[in-house]
Amino acid sequence: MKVLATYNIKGGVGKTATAVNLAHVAAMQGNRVLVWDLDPQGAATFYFRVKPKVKGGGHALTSGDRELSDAVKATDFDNLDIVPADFSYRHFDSFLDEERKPLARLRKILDSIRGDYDYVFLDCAPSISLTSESIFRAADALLVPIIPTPLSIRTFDQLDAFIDDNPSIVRKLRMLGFFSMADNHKRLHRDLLKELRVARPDLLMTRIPAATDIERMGVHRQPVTAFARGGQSARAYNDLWEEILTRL
Amino acid sequence: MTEIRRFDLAGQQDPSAIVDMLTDRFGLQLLGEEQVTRIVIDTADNRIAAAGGVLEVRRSADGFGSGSLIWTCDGTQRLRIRLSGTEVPTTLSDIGDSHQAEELIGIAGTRPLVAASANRSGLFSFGKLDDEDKTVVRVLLDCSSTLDGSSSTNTIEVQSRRGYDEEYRILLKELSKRLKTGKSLVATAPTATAPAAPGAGFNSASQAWREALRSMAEVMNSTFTGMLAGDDNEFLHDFRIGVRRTRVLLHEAEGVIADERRLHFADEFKWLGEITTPTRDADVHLDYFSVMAAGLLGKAEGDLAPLRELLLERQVACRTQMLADMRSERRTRFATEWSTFLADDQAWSLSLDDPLVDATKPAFTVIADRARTVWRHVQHDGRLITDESIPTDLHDLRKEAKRLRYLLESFAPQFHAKSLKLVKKSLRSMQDVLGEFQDAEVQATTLAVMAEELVARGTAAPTILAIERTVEHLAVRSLNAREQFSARFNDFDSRSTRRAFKRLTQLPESSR
Repeated sequence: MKVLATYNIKGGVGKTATAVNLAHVAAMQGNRVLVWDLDPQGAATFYFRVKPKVKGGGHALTSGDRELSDAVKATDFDNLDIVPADFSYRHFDSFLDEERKPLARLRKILDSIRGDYDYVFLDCAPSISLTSESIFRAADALLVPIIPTPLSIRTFDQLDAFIDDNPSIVRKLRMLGFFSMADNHKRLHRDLLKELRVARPDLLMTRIPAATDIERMGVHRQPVTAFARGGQSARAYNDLWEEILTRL
Repeated sequence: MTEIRRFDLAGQQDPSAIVDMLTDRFGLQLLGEEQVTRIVIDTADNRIAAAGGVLEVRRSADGFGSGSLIWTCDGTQRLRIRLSGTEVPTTLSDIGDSHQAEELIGIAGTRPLVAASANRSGLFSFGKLDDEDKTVVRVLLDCSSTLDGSSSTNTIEVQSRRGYDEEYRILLKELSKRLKTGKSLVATAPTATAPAAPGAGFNSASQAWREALRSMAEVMNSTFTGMLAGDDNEFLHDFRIGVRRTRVLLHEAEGVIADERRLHFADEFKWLGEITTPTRDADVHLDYFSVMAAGLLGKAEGDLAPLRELLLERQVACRTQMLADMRSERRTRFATEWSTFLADDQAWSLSLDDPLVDATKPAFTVIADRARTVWRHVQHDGRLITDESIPTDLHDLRKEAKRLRYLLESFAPQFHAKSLKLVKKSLRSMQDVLGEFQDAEVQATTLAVMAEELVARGTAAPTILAIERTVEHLAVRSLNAREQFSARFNDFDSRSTRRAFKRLTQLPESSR
């Protein structure tokens, strides 16, 4: 089982769209996939039409009172399940802090479903906190969407530096950054993309466009790879998934 | 895990009336429909079905397009591949190397696939939606008819969705009520059938054993001609699996089949196993030779030519003897005797004062009891294995593990599917290393004997040296397998596997 976390310190960069669409693509290929919506805003949960409620809240999961598998809900797609968001996740840091080894807790919770899934996507809230650090410990790879702007690149570098500087927190983690919401009509995006292709060969080649059909996920309440599977955005997510597989 | 209930409806009903009933009376939303032809394919011994799956070629009923190969397991589509031609695949060689493809190949192997059934279907999918418009129960209506239109069936399949058990139970209750009363639909069975439910299926142990033995007889019958023809050594392999499984079933049938008959049949099947073993071994040695020649020994390939000749010579001699045994009066007489016994209702009829203590008991009770006993043997023997254990100890454990697996697989529909999958996965993983160990040991012993024979024939030294290198390589394989054993056994003996096995052999409360 591979654990992939869609993460960025910044909000509104396409983390949830990435988690939802990649999870759908992976499930369509026959993999058993779970999305855990760790963001109390519950956007991934909304996209899958699931109610944002976990019995006992996040505390029941972190304390072990409730098994993670008991909180799993099937989505409308074969092989694709979700652990929904819960508003109590806003206190996730303090829930973890109550545990004896808070950094290792999330990994331990995920260990309980290790045989049940091929891929688990953690859709994370934008922040850098104890929860983020325990995600870094639990995940095999961080999928980091980056909007092609100087500020976003700077944030990515901050994250990269944090991971390099904290080997006691992060033991094995691949950083897979890729451009998201890239708009070819914007000169700044075009120039930066061109420049960074050369300067940052570690970033993934596939870029996710800024597209209306991705925004329409909220109307359809489905992954774009389901309701517009032949479109440019769906193709981009398929390509991104294939590229990620080569890096795992 | 997905729970599935099927309702078989009387045929000849208008599908549109059923669709209307499901949408109007039960508030289901029609989500899609398609008209298709479906050809279900499986190995001769139904491995895919035994693993709880269905593999089918599905094409649009209008005949356009090459269609798709679809593997469904526990109500979930696990693999869908667009076929490149119009031929129905006869093996799984071209299904790619995805994780799911490998999983399916792990079940069916490279065995030939044969068509198990073919029909024309109208498939309608429905959802029970909640107030978020989320499907909380899935319902499939399959209106099938044979390709010549001579008979038709309508089946409603209700699938639970994980995390929505309550909604599933409510809908099931409503549907059961409607189908029982027959107000607008007539169920062919008085209650819904649940093929995947633990403990469901047969009424008595006697019936369950009879069905399992019949199924193995079908495997042996379907592979018999191919085995005699000798074009594909997988036929012999499958035939032998049929024999071995039958032997396990007979061994475990104490109290279900009268001892006098049971022990006689067991002896005859043991003999069938014995007369096919030398040929199978010769096939395996030749297969292994191909692996060696394909690169393990590099330049030594040519040096091994005399060994290949000797192996081929052996194989021909073994096959000749096996064919003679297969055509012998003893084998023919026994085949008739066995099929007569399986077909004879009188021989299997039961009465309450039957002296066979277990025959009239509920099937699940007896099967679970036997599985528990074999499980304990595997556990006990496995815990005694140390680094110093002799190869025979590992071989004995391997035999016990096989016994357990055959027992679980022969009665697979009786068990809780997900627990069965968990237990089998762990068991198979342990069996793999035990098999690898045993194969390497046997190959090494055989090669050593053959080397001696080749020396006696005056074969040149390079051949003997090449064999010695192969034996060394086998020793490494054997050692590697042995090193892996402890981790694999610990997984089998772990708390989670033990818990899964406990669930497997417990009747759900609702069935007690």
